[in-house]
Amino acid sequence: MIEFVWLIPAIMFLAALVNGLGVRRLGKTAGHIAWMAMALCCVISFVVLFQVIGLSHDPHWAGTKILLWHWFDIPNFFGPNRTFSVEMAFHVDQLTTVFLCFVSFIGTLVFIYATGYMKEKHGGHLELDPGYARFFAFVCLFAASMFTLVLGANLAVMFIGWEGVGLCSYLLIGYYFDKPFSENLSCADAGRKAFVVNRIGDAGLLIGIGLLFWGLGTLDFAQINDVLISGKLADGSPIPDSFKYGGLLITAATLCMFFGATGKSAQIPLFTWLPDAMAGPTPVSALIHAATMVTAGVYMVARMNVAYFLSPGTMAVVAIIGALTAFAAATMGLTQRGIKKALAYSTVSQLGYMFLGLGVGAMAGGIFHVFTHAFFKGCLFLAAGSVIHALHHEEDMFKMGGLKKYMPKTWLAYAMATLAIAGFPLTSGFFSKDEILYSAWLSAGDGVPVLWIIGVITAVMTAIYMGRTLFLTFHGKERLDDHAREHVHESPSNMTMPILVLGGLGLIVGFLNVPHALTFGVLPEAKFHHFLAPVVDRGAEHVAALRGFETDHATGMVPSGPLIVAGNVGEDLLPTAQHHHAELLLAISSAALGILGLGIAWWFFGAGLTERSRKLARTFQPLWKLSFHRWWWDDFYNTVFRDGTMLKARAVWKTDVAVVDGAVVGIAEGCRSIGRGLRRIQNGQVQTYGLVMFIGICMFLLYFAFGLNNFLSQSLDETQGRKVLQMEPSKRSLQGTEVQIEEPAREIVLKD
Amino acid sequence: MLLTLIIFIPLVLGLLACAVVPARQMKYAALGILVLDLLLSVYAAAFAFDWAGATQTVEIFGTSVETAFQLRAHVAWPLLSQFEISYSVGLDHLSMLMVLLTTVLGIFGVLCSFKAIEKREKEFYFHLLLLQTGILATFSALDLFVFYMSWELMVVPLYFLIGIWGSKDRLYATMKFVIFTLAGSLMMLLAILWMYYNGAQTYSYEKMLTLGMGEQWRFAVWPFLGLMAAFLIKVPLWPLHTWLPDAHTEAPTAGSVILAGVLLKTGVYGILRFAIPLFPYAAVALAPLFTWLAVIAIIYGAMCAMVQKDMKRLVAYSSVSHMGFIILGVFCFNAQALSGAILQMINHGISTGGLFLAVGMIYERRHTRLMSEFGGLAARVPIFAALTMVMVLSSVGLPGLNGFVGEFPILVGSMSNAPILAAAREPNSIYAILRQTNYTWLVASLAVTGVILGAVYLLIMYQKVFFGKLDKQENKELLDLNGREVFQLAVLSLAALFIGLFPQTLLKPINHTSRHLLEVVSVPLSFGQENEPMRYEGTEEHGDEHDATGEHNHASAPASDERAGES
Repeated sequence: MIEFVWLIPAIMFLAALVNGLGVRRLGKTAGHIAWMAMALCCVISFVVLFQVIGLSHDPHWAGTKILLWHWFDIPNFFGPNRTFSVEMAFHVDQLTTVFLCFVSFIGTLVFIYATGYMKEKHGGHLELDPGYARFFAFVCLFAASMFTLVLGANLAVMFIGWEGVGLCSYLLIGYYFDKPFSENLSCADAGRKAFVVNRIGDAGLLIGIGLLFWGLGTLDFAQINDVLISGKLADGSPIPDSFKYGGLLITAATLCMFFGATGKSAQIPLFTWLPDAMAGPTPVSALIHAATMVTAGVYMVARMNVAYFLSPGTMAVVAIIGALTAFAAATMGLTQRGIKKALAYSTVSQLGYMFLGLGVGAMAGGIFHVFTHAFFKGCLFLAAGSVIHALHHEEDMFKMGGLKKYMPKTWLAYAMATLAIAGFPLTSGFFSKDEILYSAWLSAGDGVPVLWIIGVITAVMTAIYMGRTLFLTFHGKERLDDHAREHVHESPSNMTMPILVLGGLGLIVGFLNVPHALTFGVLPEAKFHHFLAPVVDRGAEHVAALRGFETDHATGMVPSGPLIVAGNVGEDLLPTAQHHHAELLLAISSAALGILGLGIAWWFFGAGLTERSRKLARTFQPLWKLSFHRWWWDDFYNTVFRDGTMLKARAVWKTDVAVVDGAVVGIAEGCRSIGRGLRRIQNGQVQTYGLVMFIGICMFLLYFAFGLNNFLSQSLDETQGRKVLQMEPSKRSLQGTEVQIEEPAREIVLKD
Repeated sequence: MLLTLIIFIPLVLGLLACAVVPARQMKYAALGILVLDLLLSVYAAAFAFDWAGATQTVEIFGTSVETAFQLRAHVAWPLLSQFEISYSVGLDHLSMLMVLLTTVLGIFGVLCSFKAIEKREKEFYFHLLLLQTGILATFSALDLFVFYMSWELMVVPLYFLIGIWGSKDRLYATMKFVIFTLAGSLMMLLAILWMYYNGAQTYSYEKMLTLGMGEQWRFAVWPFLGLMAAFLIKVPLWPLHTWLPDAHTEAPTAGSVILAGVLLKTGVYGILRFAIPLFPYAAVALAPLFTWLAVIAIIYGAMCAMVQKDMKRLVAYSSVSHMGFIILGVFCFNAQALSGAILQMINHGISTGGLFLAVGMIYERRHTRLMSEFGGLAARVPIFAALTMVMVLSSVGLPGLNGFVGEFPILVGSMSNAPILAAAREPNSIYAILRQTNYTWLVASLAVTGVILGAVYLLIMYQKVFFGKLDKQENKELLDLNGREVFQLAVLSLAALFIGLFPQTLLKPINHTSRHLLEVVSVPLSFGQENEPMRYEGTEEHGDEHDATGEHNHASAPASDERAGES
């Protein structure tokens, strides 16, 4: 089946095409085509998964490449012998398979959910949304792009998917293209914002790709790894020094590519598009802006882990940016009123966790958090969508409350997912967050674990804001307006089934990757990590070998990643029994903090919106404002970058009209006025002509009679003589003789 | 003979059609003629042209010349052959592709005028056909005299196309276009005459190459600049671009399509065909100048496009930006960048041609191009919205469509210039790298901003026209595309997709061309490097004598003082 893995994107593309062409005729069928195509992809993905599990017993198997055709081939005819050769090729290995499986699985559930969501009750009977088939065409195209992204065997093919998901995101955010989104942003604006912000990141990614090609002569993932590890280019010559461990250019390249990742994965400084991306239909928010597309940046970093491990500077930046984003977004999520807005900031924050994990070297941990996050965040968004759908597009949590009794199934799913994301013990979020935090702790070595502290504070805040959304929405007094109260109902089963499945899985998938400290000798240890290790631990292994420490230890893996990154690894710091002890302690403390956070949320919001919660906001007014206005981050960007660029553009255009075109027009005008002036000379008066003629004749006579030409030739000789002088002085040794030659020449001139 | 047929069929049959076909039917006649021309050129490409690129030996004015051009026609004119002027045409890979682009886009020029042109139809289509002949002759001329004539021939019909069938300010725009172009042509003429009297003694391009004029004209900068002036005005490169927005805005749709799609390419073609091969040393020496101008054009054009209110003017400025990418690719003198640039010439023809078609379709319906007059059209004309989206995305450079496969090699190529690699092998210090990276890294990074801005202005346009509320009464009654219009945009969309996924079909012949060009410039490119050791030897000698010279200095110092006293 692996050879036919290209079927997965092909099927989705075909589904998109069918839906797109039949956009007017298909009606309800469009949804069925879409979810069935996705389900088929899911089946293929799982078949591939089992094959890959079988294949990965062979330690020499490093993925299978499926070459479709040669995309570009531009040989370098002169200069260094490297062909710019890009294949349209797919590559299947453990990392790819993991992404294929969870994207297609969650995608199927979301598509089924969407067939219910994209209908409205109008006067008693259900009506399809006017853009029903268009919606499914776009989401199918999205899925095709996402699969291309994770399957691509080289950076260029990945980039097709990378831009493709960006495009679909643009189209889907702007799906309600004639509706306003917030007071100063229409849905179409939000879509454009997403595309442009992503594009800014992509520019960085392109530079990074260019740098890598220039240093390594290839864009193929497998070859990049081989070249970096062996230190030899394809033609056998050594790689440039600046592409070796800690080199300047590998750092620059990885940093540029990480800039691309901050765009796609909504990290500081490019995260501002994601909260506005909630303008799209909710299934889109769940699938694209929570579960799959935004993880593309994480995927890319993990995919390029060898390059990233080789540049500790970049790794530090990744970790710091991740931690800061996690923290900042969590503070912003604390006070948002829209349920989707709050979830959006939660997504940004969780993505920050993932990058924190990657940055401290826990590549598998980061990917595992992507995996678990996809389940519980997908569930949260879909459940929120179920609420919004039931209340007829009411998103403000302050106008909800007490929905538990109307929508018990939705509540159940939402509560399960909240537990998971808050890190309640033994839920999936607990395991995945714990691994990241443990690595952050280790990465500090002997120093103060700043990153860990930020991570833990964020974990508490996560629990608080998630608890807040849960309690404000489902608990306490009802604050519905009349219109919403009329409509409130539990969603149909094609919507509740997917969210219950996702919520339930969100609780238990964590057991796929139980850390050593928590196995208690019973549970299988770190299966997920073991599975991914051949791909994502390659960089750590290489750098460990490079810098001469043992990779082998009790667990048989390389969790020494963080230590390598920290750069202060000694024998004594390698994970030992003592560290596992610490891991257990850390796990217990972070779990306790999660429960504490939920408790705080319950204390303030358990009874809904009460005097107690209002007082909290009043007491910390400045902080509340900072959080509610999202640190004024958007306003800053809008003023400085958006308006600033437009201002500059206007200035440039004014310059174009006034100066550049002005010069052209000026020359034309100049010619015209010269012509106008010269016209006066030809005035038809014989006297004037005679005078001019006379002056001319006089000048000729003067010229010949008074030896003017002699004078001219004389000065010409003089200049030539000087030239000789100027040309020679460099030959200092000959100066003396030259002067002798020179002097008579000058005398002759003077005598004349 | 085949090539001559392809070139002159539009002119001759056009004249004939003018004589016999009634005005109402002229469009069908023009379409028929251009389809015939397209079929002939496709036949030429498929069967008569040898893509493997064998060379042949021919005799030109008594000299035996080895030429890579095919489908040649060489007729010496009785009176002019004493100046070695001849009717001489032929195609290589580059011009074959350009001829195909011309014959394809010509058809779109006719198709989009079916309804738009209602007055003086005969003349309109005749001018369109004449323009076609001029362009085809420009792309295939192998004699500088013929080239100059066809270069001028292109101006005349476009002058009338804009001046008669254009919109409000057409007279200003067309005068500006003509004077601008003629100023450039004049400099080209001077350069051509200079070449004739400075060693070439012939107007045959093939013969000039054989005579090795490039080596002989090593220090000739002014004639090179003369040629470049004509070509860069046509491209147009900043700051010579100001005729373009006016001409585009005022031209009828067909004029815009041909202008953007093909005519601008004649400028790049001229650079690749004549300016660089005849003056490789000057080209290499001045390459930094042109790369910087190109970068300015990329950003500047995009900035100007961002604030336009008129859709056509916006697309025109986007052309300035995109053509900047092409010039950047050409003057990096790197295989990837060059191939990307040539590919981008074709891509730009498709995507910008498509955008102009789309704007023309809107204009036909509403007789305005102001974006503020529209909004929410996606709900009313979905097919139009979808097809325009494809064109916009292809212009933005979305991977999978054609724009990307041109831009990407240009960017990658402009970064991976040889000097940088040399620097990267040096010790790991930022100084070493910055010192030796030349300008290319910076240039490429700046050019990337064009990719961002491209998305900004095109999406702004798209949003203002197609998204938002459908609130204007006139827009509520718009009709979606008819079959003819769908055909135009759909064909271009499919072409964009095809090139985006299978660029190799075009890149193979393009690589052939860039290989030849790089062969030409490889000597001057390595010129400086070879000279390096020579200069070192000089200084070493100097160093050996250092002590001696020092004494001399002391000895001669009083002497020079004396001299100063005397004078």
